[in-house]
Amino acid sequence: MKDLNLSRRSFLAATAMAGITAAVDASPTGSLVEAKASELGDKPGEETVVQTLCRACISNCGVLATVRDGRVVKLEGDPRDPMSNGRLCPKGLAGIQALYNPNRLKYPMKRVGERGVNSWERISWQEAIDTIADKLMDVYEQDPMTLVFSSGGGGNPQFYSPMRFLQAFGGGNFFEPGCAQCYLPRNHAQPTINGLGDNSIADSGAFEIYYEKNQTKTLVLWGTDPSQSCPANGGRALANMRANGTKTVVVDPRFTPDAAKADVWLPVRPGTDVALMLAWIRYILDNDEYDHDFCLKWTNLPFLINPETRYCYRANELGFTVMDTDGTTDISATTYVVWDNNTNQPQPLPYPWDDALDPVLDGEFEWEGTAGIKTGYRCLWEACQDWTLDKAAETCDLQADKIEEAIRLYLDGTPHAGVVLGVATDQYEQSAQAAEGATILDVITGNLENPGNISQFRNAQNPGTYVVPAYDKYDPTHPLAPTEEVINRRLGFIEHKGLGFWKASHIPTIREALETGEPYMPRVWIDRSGNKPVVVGGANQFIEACKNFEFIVHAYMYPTAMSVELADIILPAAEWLEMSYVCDRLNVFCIRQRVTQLFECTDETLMWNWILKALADRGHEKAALSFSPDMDDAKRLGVNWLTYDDYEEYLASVVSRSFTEQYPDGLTWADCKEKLPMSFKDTQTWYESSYGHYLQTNEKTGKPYGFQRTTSLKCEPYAEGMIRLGRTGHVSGKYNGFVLPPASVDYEPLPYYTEPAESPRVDDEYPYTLTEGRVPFYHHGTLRNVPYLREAYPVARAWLNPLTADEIGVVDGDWVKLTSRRGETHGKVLVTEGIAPGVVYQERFWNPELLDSDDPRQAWQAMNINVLTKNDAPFNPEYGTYTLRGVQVKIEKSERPDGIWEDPKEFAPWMPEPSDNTGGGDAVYDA
Amino acid sequence: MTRKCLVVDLNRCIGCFACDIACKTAHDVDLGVYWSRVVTVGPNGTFPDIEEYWLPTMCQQCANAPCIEVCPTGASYRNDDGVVLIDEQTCIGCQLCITACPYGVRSYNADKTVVEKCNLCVDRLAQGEDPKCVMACCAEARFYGDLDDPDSDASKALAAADEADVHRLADSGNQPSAAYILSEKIATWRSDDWVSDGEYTRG
Repeated sequence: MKDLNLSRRSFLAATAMAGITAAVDASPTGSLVEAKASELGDKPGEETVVQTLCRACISNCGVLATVRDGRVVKLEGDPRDPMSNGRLCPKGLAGIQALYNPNRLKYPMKRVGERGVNSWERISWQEAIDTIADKLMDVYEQDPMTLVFSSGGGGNPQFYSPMRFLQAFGGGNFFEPGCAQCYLPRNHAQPTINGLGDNSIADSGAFEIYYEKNQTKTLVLWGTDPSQSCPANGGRALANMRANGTKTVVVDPRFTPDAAKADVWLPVRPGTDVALMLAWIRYILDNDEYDHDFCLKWTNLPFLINPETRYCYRANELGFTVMDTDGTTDISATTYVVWDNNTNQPQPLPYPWDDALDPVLDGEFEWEGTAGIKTGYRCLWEACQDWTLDKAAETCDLQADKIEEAIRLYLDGTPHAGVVLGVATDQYEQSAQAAEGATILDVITGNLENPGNISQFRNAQNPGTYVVPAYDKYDPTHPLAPTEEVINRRLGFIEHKGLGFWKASHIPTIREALETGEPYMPRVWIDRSGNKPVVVGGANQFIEACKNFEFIVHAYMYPTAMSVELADIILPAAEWLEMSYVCDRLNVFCIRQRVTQLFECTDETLMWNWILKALADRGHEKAALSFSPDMDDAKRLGVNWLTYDDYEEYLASVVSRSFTEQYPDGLTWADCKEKLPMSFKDTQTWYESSYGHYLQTNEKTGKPYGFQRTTSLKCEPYAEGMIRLGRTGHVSGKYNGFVLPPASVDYEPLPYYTEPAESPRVDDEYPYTLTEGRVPFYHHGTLRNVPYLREAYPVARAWLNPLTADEIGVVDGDWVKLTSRRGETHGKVLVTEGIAPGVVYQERFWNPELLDSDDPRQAWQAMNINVLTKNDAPFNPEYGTYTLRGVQVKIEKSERPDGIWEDPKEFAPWMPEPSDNTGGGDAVYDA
Repeated sequence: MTRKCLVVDLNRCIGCFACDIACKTAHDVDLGVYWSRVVTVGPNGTFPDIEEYWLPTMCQQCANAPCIEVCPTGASYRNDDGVVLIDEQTCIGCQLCITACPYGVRSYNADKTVVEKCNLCVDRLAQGEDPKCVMACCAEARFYGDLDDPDSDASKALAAADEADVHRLADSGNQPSAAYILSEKIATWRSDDWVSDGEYTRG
């Protein structure tokens, strides 16, 4: 076996030199590439330092890359980045090993032989684009919805470019394995309730934690581990906050470094967070610890709820006529109603407040023959009234006194406290309910827009990855915006309308369509991401269904299990050191700039535009329109580019929008490279203009700004917007201008608890509860082929409490087989008190070294917990979330999986092989 | 007298391992070898009443360095700035120093047949920069400086800490300079007798 391993390794090392196709590809490396002199550092021995931004995860930390003789030789953090302050985590530090990894996909390739075998033939970009365009033209003519386009967070620089592509294409389904399982539930539900935004640290939503004044007295970290997921940003900020006296509560089944530093750690049973949130809410209401004045004046809790429609009453429904302060505008249909103590009857409450009224916060009334008219507060109380601390303790496997201690700490810090919610609760059936519960806590305690609060009015200029927009961004009637038919036909969207916020389709419904051909059979899949078999839940079921695609294109930086199992064409994507992009970091705008470009690797926006151009050349009118300067709103949306230079000028135009005062004529990309990082607002103003913003007068209306992302301009803990979302497609009542058919069930306006579908309380066959969570060496499915990272974390560790380990009969370092109702995989035991008895923690993993083994399938089967997780119902009604955390498994002692690499020396074939700047795919393909 | 070394604030350290990877990339350290090695200490106690800290280990820059004493060729030496170093040219790979080092933070490079260890990034120090691990440290928990210079970052970090929170690895007369800050509130210091066992990962 050892000899075989050695020969495999030498095979990998040898094939790496010529792409991965030694057996079939006779083209010598570089024969199609005319190397052009590097733009930077091209004088022998001279070093140039290039300012850029990392993209080894979604954080975009500032990097200074040193280039010598055209090659990147050193990476350091850029101290001008205010979020990372010049710090870099393992993933970013390993950027050179990722860039010059011998496994880089260097050229477009087409499959030779069957799917499931790692055998490829090099083709030109011309052939790749023509092949794809011919296929897509057929799809377009038959039914454009049968195109599926996916992306993923693992190193993906763009967010909306797939949707942009699909809109120019004229239909299709977009998905990514994050989305409903990562960030979308918080990103959508939190602003629906607090009118401000989500407060995810890892997604750069919690800006307050970076303010050096550190005014946060208590921070509740709920299902988030910044020390592991974003060490240089959130991890660093938290270290500062703790050192400066911020108290922290960590709610996490796993004893993370943040838990180790916390004042109170609540190791909640996976999948039960909402029960705990309801207990927190109940405790705060029951102990009269909520902010009465804020709840009365700035939330919808005093509003009366129509028991039939479940929406808040509007004045006209109860026969009131209300005129605006101008005396001429009838606002009866938009004015909410309260029960007035003074007159003992319903009264309209024009925004923002009427001192003549004495609204009742908690009550249930009968009026003109209608009984059961409750206030929002009463509905909230009824939602949480059963959840005593004891009941939550029993449900969540916690101690009641510890829960109380945590709540007390939060209340002690109020109104300078905050709850930040992480990805954990996005990963099971209750994703929406958890996002609602966490947001309600900050709302009822008035922890909004005060110094130290996490929920602030402080929008990013161009949030993280949204620089290249979809065409419906500014105007849903844009000629390239999706039609009502396209929207209605998105798979699973009508049932799970929260997906519409990201223009996404529902993964399990796509799977079912592939399995059954209903409502239609998806034909072509274009995926720009790492390794779908590793990051999609219920991977066995999902990947099996995906084999029914006629044609699959995979674009990534190196071949993965996705390439080998499924792809027919693979396209070489750019690493972050080969990309350009722009991103604001707090009040400072930064740029990512291509430091080098290797082989024929290409930025994804170029790939999509090259395909669209080929479609336009074949007579596709919408695709052609995307290249027309006469397209509506062409300047803001960007006329599609075909070269990197044109793309960079578009990026510069985006940056320019933030500097119109300093640079009224705009900035070129050359200007950006010279002047950025650059502040667009001074630090103190940027932070502090949010404080009390809701009370300030909006000059346009003469009234306070309020909380601008809700319909009522007040916080809406009674989230009637969620009901409206399910019935129409949007919290406002219209999705892209269309009222869509209702979902089969109403979305609930308030959180409720559901025991996980697979529960340790009743499951005798699969007794252990599986959860997952980040390690600092990898992001999603990335970087398992980077030697310095892989040697540090070579295999997936299964955390078992000593009691569990005894029960199973294993000791530290043993291998175990984990089996769920959907599959089996392996982990190497770590016996630790850092996890509850009965719970097992393991992070996603895959083994690139097995791609060239006799059984390439093992690359994603050997130690990948997503073969255990779920892709089937029950789903979260709002977002369609399936369950990744809180599934039941059985565990038994096993052998170490064959062929995996664990010894540090085994990773030697993946040590970097630096090469010259070729100009990338852009240099060889003339679109 | 100078005592140039690293001080690590374990109250801040978040176990992200950036220091280890920064060191490896800065010095092209061989696979399987670490000049900087973060050790997970814990969790200690019984679930859920547990505590844990991370102990980044490296050459402790002993004032009375046994590695220098035992080295037969003078390859282990203290430079003019007081930094304990290894001269690759003179090292014959006899590994006596590895035996002598009380902490096991030296490693043998079989390819080069020399012994290696943390050199405090002396090349960077010469240019007025901090060691790479200090610059990368995501928790801003690492401080470099001369403990005999009260204005150094390392001295200031120690001065700001409670005396009871300042810890050193066991001193058997070798007088380690490197120091750790850990308060009882975070975890009880348990590393007096720490010696590398060569194990790296914990997960």
